[in-house]
Amino acid sequence: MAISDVKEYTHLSEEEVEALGRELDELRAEIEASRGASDAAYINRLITIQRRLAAAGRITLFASRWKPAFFAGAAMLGIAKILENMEIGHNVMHGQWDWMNDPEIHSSNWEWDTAQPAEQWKHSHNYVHHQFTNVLGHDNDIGYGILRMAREQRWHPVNVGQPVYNTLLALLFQWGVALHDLDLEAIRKGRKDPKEMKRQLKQIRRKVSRQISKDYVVYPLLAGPNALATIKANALANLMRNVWSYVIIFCGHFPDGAMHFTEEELEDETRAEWYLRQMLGSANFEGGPLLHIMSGNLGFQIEHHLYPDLPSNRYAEISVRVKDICRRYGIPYTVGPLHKQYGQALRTIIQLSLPNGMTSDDQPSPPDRVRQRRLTDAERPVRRTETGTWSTRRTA
Amino acid sequence: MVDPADRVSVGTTAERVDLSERRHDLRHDVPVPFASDPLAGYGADHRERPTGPTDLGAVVKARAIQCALSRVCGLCGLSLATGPAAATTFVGSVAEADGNTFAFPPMHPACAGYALSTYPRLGVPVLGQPLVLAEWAVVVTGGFELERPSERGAPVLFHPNSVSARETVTAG
Repeated sequence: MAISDVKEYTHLSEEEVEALGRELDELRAEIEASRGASDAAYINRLITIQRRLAAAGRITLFASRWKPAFFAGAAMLGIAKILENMEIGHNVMHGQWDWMNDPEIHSSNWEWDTAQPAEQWKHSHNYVHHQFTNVLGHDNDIGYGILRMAREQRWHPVNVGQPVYNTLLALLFQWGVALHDLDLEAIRKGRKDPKEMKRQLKQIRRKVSRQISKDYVVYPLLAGPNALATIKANALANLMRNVWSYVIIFCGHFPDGAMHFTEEELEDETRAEWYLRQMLGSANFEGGPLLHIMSGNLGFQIEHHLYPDLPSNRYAEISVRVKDICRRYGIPYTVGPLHKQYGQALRTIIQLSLPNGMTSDDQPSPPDRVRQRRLTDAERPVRRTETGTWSTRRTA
Repeated sequence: MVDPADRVSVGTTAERVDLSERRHDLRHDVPVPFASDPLAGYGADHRERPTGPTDLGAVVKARAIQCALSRVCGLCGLSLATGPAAATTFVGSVAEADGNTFAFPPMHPACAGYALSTYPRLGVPVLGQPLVLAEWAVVVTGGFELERPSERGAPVLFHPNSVSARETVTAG
């Protein structure tokens, strides 16, 4: 299925696609120009709140033998971890706040409170997922190598267990993410560079040790006689974060309406076409400001995929304009309540645990040919090289 | 002769330049910059890694985007983590610096110093330049914007967005 075959935008001429691209460029330029002190105040305030919440949670857990303190401490810590991973860590590592020139709140230096090393996240998520969004065989986030999430992916009897794998993935999400960039399939087939694998494993081992020491050794020891209760509360906080992150992430690309593409789409894709693929491959969910902050503003997944490096606190205002652009160009803007979006993703997981012949197809026609294994960086499309030049500024 | 690496004061640090993972250009006896190597990038199948001549002036589109999104250095290909100071460094022509638009991806400060001491003296176009340059601009910034190609065949470009220092150095 080439990008020109997708019925949702075959009604657009090449000129209209380029005009749409220009409107999205202008929107980006406006946000860039207005980025300033109030945005910086937002992220600084949020980091302060998150750190105070984490400290309050840790202190409360010193009294964790008392049940209300146990649950209050675990909840505060869980919320602090969610804020750190979703609204702070994820967005800082996208470079959303690099313009502040703050050495701490910077994509190069931020290390987040989860098992995956930041460097590996910036490869598997920022590059592979954001560049090859929903392209089968390229975007490793389609089912995380565990779940069959598109009818175009070949069915295997092992897929019958998807509902179980899905539950385990939700409960153990941070550990699944920690291994995400290793590419276990390449390791199994001997395609992975042993030196690179060793380097990545060393990074993961170091990060996992740090996380385990923090949550299950140092803080419990500090709690003295309440050590065991503190261990349990920390595990509960991590579980909260795991399940919440999993739900939010699965609502971004798997509800009905979010499309999958094949590698033909990537060949010589222009910026306007890249915008289109991001819009058609992503899905939003509705909610109030608190829900959006708790979900790292990924309820605005479409806007995040259009502008992954613009400050997340601006996505709400950007969404009004993007929605209007979609309406004017007749492009679907997939949005719904959180429970509905997750329900659709869950239905897909269950449905695709069975062969295609046993289920109905309510999505666009499948492509002719789909890769069945992950691609390495070197295998991802390289159509040409170019020597340097400079031109009128237009960002995307 | 003063080594250009020693003359670059903007943003340079005592960091070590690690080019052990980079392929070697046998014709010029220099490492191939990550951004100029279509076969670079971790995850590449180590059994199929070739050797041989490369275009040191080229910037591979896929690698340039990878540098921008993964926040990795255009020379060594490693994470742009810079320690206490956010000092991403761009190297290019004076015209690029004047236009705040660079073709070669950002580098570590130490890698930028190494690149300027190694490639311009080869007398061929290098580091994303279509011509041999006599003068090079070095720009240090906290962040940058990525400009994806607006038309087929156009290059990926970078716009520093929080410049903290700029310097011009002479090649050779």
